Amino acid sequence: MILDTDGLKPIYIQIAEWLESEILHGNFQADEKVYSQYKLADLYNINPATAAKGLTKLAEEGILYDKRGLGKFVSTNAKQIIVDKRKNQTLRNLVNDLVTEAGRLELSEEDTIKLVRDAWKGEQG
Amino acid sequence: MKAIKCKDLNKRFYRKNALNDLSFSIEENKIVGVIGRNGAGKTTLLKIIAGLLKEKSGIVEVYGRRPFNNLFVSANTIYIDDAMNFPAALTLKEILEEGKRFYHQWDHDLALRLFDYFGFDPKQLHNELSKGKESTFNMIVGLASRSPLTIFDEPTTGMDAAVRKDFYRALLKDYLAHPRTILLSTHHLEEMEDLLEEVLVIHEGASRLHTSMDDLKEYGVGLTGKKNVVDSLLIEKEIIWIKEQAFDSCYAVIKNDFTDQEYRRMQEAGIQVSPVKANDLCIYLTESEHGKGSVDDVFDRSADV
Amino acid sequence: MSLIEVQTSEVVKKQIGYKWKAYTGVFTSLVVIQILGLLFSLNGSGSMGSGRTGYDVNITYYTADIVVGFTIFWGFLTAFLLTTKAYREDDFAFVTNRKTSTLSTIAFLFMICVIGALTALLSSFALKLLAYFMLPGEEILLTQGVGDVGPWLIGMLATFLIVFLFSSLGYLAGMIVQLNKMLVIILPVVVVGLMILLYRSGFQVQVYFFEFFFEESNAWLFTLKTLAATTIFYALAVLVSNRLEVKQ
Repeated sequence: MILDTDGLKPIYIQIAEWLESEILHGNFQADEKVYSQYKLADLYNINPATAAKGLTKLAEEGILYDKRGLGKFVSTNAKQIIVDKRKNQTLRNLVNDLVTEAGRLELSEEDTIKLVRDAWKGEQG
Repeated sequence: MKAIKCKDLNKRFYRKNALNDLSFSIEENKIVGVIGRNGAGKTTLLKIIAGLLKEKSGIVEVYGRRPFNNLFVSANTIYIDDAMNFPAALTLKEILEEGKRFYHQWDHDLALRLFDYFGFDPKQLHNELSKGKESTFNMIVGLASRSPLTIFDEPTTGMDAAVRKDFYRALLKDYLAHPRTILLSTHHLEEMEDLLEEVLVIHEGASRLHTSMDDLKEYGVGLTGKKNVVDSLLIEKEIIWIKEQAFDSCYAVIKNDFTDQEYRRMQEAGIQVSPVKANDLCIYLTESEHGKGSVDDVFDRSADV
Repeated sequence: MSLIEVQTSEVVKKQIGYKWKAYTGVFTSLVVIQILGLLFSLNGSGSMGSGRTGYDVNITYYTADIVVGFTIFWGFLTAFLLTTKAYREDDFAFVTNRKTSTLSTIAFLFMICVIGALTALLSSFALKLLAYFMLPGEEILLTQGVGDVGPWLIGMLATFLIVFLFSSLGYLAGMIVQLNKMLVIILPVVVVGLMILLYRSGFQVQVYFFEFFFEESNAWLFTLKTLAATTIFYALAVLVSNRLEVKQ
């Protein structure tokens, strides 16, 4: 991953999301140790405090857990938490944005759903 | 333990106040950016911390001691700027050797490897170097000293983009391996913001804002929309910057303390909410209060095209 | 990262070594000024002649007095220059404070004054050799300082003490001037003005000064006087320097 430093998303969230993706892809298994804040800092050329903030965020969400003195490890149900979170938050926000933008363009509910349906078909086919 | 503590720090040069009741403190082992306009007092502050200048009044402590004329502070601090004065008789290699003799934590191996990497000639003299090369060499001295408090004042003057990138990388690598307190003043905040843990924004000799870099990035929020709508939202908010735009709309930068509910209402009212980049925010925060808003105001309005 | 406590003596030692390497220009100027002094000395410092029928006697004295004089001037100027901003900033490139900076500079000046005095006296031999080979003359009498070590050593000590005394004056003057740029003009004006005023009231400072130091025939008293004066001047310089900032 290359960090989007100009982007709107804070770096620590990008770090957290990258770790989530790696967990989803199975690159970090349950009960496996994830990268330390220093390793992440080195990898992405960022301050270790920023990396630590990303790790802390995942720990607070239960995706990672702390082993005292050893670092952060992947929770057993990490994948499930990530999937739920993305469904409930990320996707919901995207849909909200879609509806807002559609409203601004004076699109009807029908038309908007049709757009989604078309996109869905394109993705499947 | 606090690496640096300043309280009501004042400094005057003849008739001009350089520092005005500046107060802040910095924890050990952080990389802190010192940001401010030209003449804001950054260099004065850094030199006082390094013990090179004497404060007029107030308290300044580095590792619990007053830095001016203090051998302990000098031994644990290095101050690097773009006007470093090294003896004209010494070659670059000899200057590094002297650094090794004076600084207990000096890493000569690192110094020599960086020296080779940046293609320096050991026999060269310091005053023969070009501006960019000089800054690069000074930077090597600063990194290799491994001083518990390392101060870089405008370290990248004259460096080209590639060298600046190398410098940031080298700084981070060495910091990760040997954490220490690093103060950096810079005009290139956007280039090194990811390196910084904290920023201290200096404006007219006082601390305008001292916060973590992550918080600085979320400190302000930009609102774009119809002027009357935006204005109604700004009541009782801290306005950092405002600029009128075409078609009765305006762009305002506000301190980011809206609730989720307020955000939703703003979106419904057709206000575009956008984050404000750290660099831009610092510019807005340090806008002069005496003069008018921007350089636009220098030009005659009627001359607008 | 652990913090380091350093000893003043340790830093002073390092600073002396550093200055020894960094201030090589000082030695260049010493060589130049002593060669210049030698060339001037070839004129001879005094001569007398008498002629009678049949033979002429022409005696010319060659001494290294001019070289010594030039070396004294060099001691003053070098010490003065070492207080200027460029040199001070060189000091502060590495670990130091005022105290170690001044102490190491004084120690450095001490050492170069020894060297200066030594070479000044050695140059008297060089002068005699030069005179022997280059100047026309039938007989050359080498009067003193060749066979006898005692007087030579005393001469060496005296030369050193005077050069060192003048270096302390230069150092003090330099430090005072560093306080404020205007003092470059004010200081000489005040010093010369005072001398003129005192001269008018019948007190000639420079004469008194020379009598006090140079007409002292007792070697011990001379040593004591010059060293005491040197110490006072350096101490004053240290006091002044403690008020100085490094970089502005």
